Amino acid sequence: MLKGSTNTDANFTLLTIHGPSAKLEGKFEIAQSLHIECEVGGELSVGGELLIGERGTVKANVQTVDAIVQGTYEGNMVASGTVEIAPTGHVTGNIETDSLVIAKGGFFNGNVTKKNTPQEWKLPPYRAEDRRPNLVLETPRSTALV
Amino acid sequence: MLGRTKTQTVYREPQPAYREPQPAYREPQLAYREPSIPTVTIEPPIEEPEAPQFLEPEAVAHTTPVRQGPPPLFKVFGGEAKLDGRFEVAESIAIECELSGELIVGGQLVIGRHGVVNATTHTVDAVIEGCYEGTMVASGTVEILPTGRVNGDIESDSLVIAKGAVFNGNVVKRVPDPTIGIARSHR
Repeated sequence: MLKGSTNTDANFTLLTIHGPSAKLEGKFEIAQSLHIECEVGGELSVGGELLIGERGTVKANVQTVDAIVQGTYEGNMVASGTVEIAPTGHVTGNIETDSLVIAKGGFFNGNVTKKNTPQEWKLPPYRAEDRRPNLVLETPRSTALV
Repeated sequence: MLGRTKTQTVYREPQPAYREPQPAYREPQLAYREPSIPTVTIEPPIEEPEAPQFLEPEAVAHTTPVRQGPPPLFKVFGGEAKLDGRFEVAESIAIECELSGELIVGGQLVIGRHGVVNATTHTVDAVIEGCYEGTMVASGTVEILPTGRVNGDIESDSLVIAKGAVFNGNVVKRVPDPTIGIARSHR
């Protein structure tokens, strides 16, 4: 537990920056979530959701759970949850995640690494039963095989 | 008398050949009407029993200004955060977490009561409710509120230390260019 902040409320605002512009650089460790609409560089470690807004420009190595990119992101990202690139998003770099969503119009240039790839997903689909979560198939796989 | 044909005289109602012209012009209706005086009933304000003026000490001491306008540029939520680095902020920053490094603020710096700042700061105004350690150069006012704890040097134009605040360090009064104020006031 950090010395200064003992509030565990997820909606508690720990840091707010107002104004026309801001430029931050350094190493940020955040237990919950973060909303960026300015220029940020360095290293980010987020324990919740990272939201890069439309005006946000982030050039950083990021370790997070979930991420939504509506602005510009450059760097290496490791996400244990979902990464979403919005239609206005612009991402250059490598993303290591379990699930990546790129909306139509979203820009992405780089490598994607699936974090936990079960062995059976490496098999061709006709040889393995698909056990991806939240996947709704038109016809059940068992009947399709017959 | 003989040559004359008898004319039967039938009595006819005399048709008036001439008719009085209908007056095309009409007196204009007066548009102006007597103003009806609106009746205004002034109801006496409903006097509610005043709520007891008890505010949580946190709510009183919290000085983060309530702002309306564009959404913030950078916002951190949650239980805890630790930021280290260089922060260049054009306007204002409110800190409720652990922060270290270098701060350059073009407006107001607010260190909330949860804030722990260990930094070299250049700012205009500062309000300190939490912990601050380091050197601060402020071109405006520095205010240390009762919960504030400051360890370090402050160079500022005006310094306010509230009763109960802890301050340990040097204060350097910023002497503004003496010719500016005097020259302007005597013009």
